[in-house]
Amino acid sequence: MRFRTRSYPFAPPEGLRRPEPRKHVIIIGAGPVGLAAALELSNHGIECVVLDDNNTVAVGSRAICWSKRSLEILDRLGIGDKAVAKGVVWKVGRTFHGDTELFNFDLLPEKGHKRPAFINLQQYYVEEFLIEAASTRPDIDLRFQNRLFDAVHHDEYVEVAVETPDGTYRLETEYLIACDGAGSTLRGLLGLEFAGELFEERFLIADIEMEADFPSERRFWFEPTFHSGQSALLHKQPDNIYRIDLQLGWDADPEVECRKENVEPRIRRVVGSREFRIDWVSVYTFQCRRLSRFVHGRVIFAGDSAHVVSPFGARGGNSGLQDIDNLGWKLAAILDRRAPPGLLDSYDRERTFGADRNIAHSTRTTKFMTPADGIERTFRDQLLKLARHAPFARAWINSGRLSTPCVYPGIRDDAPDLPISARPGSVAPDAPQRQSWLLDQFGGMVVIAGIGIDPPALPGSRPLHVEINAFVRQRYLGQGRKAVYLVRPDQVIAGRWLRTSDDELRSAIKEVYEGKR
Amino acid sequence: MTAELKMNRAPPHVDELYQDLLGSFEDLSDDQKLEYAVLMLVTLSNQIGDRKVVSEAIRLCRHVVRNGP
Ligand SMILES: Cc1cc2nc3c(=O)[nH]c(=O)nc-3n(C[C@H](O)[C@H](O)[C@H](O)COP(=O)(O)OP(=O)(O)OC[C@H]3O[C@@H](n4cnc5c(N)ncnc54)[C@H](O)[C@@H]3O)c2cc1C
Repeated sequence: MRFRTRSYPFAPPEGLRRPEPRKHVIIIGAGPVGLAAALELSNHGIECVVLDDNNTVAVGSRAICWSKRSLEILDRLGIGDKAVAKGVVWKVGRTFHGDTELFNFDLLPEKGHKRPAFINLQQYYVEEFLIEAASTRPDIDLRFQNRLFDAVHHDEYVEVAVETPDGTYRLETEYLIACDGAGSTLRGLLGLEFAGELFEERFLIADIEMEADFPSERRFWFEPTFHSGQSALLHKQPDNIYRIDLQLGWDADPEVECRKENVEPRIRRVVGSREFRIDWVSVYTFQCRRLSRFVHGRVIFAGDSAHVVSPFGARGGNSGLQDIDNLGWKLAAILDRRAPPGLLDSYDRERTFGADRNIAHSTRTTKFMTPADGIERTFRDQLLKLARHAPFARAWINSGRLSTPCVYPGIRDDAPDLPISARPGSVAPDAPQRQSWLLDQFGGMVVIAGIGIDPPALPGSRPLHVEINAFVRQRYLGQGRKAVYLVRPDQVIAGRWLRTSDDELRSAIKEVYEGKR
Repeated sequence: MTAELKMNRAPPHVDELYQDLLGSFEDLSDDQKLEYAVLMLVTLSNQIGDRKVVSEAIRLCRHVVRNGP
């Protein structure tokens, strides 16, 4: 069944009639990141207002690839199952040069994870599922057709001015989360600018509906015969929709390229004689840029308002969800007076680090896919040739290094004999447990996970007995027989010990809420 | 650091290696010479596999090229 965009109703807010009480949190933007923020705060018992200038989900070609990490986050927001059930699960990618397959990769060769490496699911579905979930939460006040047009930062609060179809009103909030996308109004109001690179390249992105027997895998071509000298990407989505990305060159005229008479022949060359219907076509240019800081007093930036990348590693929406994963529990702890406001510095530090990683990956991919004339092109072209002859060279071919979470640096208390996959700063690896999955038992609050050891019950944390099996042994113990792991509310490992004391754990928990681990 | 690079990596038979390298450019056009050099760089870097060593080699060679004899 094809997706039908529905309009969400406008309800005149109380603020149009009389001043509303000051809010704890206002979120600007009901894209995937803003909606995730609302649900994550609600998970922590924090009320919020979400303002969006529109009354529908995102239309057109936007995110389709959602990573394993995003699915784990969506699980905690209550829509993981729905997303996976609707999405197209894939883990195999094939890379071609011309018509020759250079290599293929399996993104999740290991078993024992609840979620697959990736699903493809149109962004409008993800947003709709998030809106449905948010609508069931009494502590989320979702306001469509409410456009923020001004913001004033005071010491104790932020005041925003909002335009609706029925007039304008003002609201006050302790914290304002800017999830208003790449063209962020708030960034402009605060006079903040992105720094980074804009690539002089254009891509035609077409979503087409077609009955076809292409398997659920990612296919990427360098210089395919059907699109001479450029690159192309084909991805399957639900509802028999396929995403086709075609590199066009910087000189291409977006308006001309989007004309039906020009698009159809290009698509025809990719899909052959199959019947197809064009769902959406647009021409994009891409940037790899970010704000120098994500926290500006009581205004916090997350998602595309804070950083943008090219889509070839599927790092935009996925990293936005990781921002919220990192921010939600910290902001909740601050509002609940369980942590000092300074905890937000660790959001800034960790997520700018994550953004830099994403920008570095995305920039390298873009350079490989669209090399500048001269030595960049010589290197790229020679590597493609070499990869046909020498398997080692395949690893050098960069058609998109797909989104995985970064490992936050500087978190101490490591027991180096334990496996690297669960080192401090990384997201806790999943593993099956008798009744459920390990990741379903982490998150929400600090967990002291005892593996072969009784975990103590300490204030501000929850003890968890981890059942030992082959997956837990491989991912958490290695050659060791027992260990204690401290896991943050965002499922990031905050320390691990072969043996420890209650005092040591108590001070480690305190440090989690001080942003020191 | 540079001395370390040389000390650690100077293999036996350098004269033979030198001849092999020179010989490997024979019969190639100027365009092909560049392509070949690029392929060799990638192949050797891959074999070395240690980013520090490759970085040190890059630093050394760029220094020599830019600072002349
Ligand atoms: C072609 C393409 C392919 C992509 N593919 C992928 C992919 O496969 N995987 C991936 O992870 N990412 C992908 N992305 C990136 C992804 O779409 C974005 O990263 C994601 O949409 C960011 O979400 P966001 O909530 O931060 O911003 P947005 O989705 O832009 O949402 C911002 C919201 O704020 C609202 N808003 C804006 N201004 C105001 C205002 N003044 N007042 C109130 N509301 C306002 C907007 O209406 C909108 O609802 C792709 C992007 C493109 C363009």
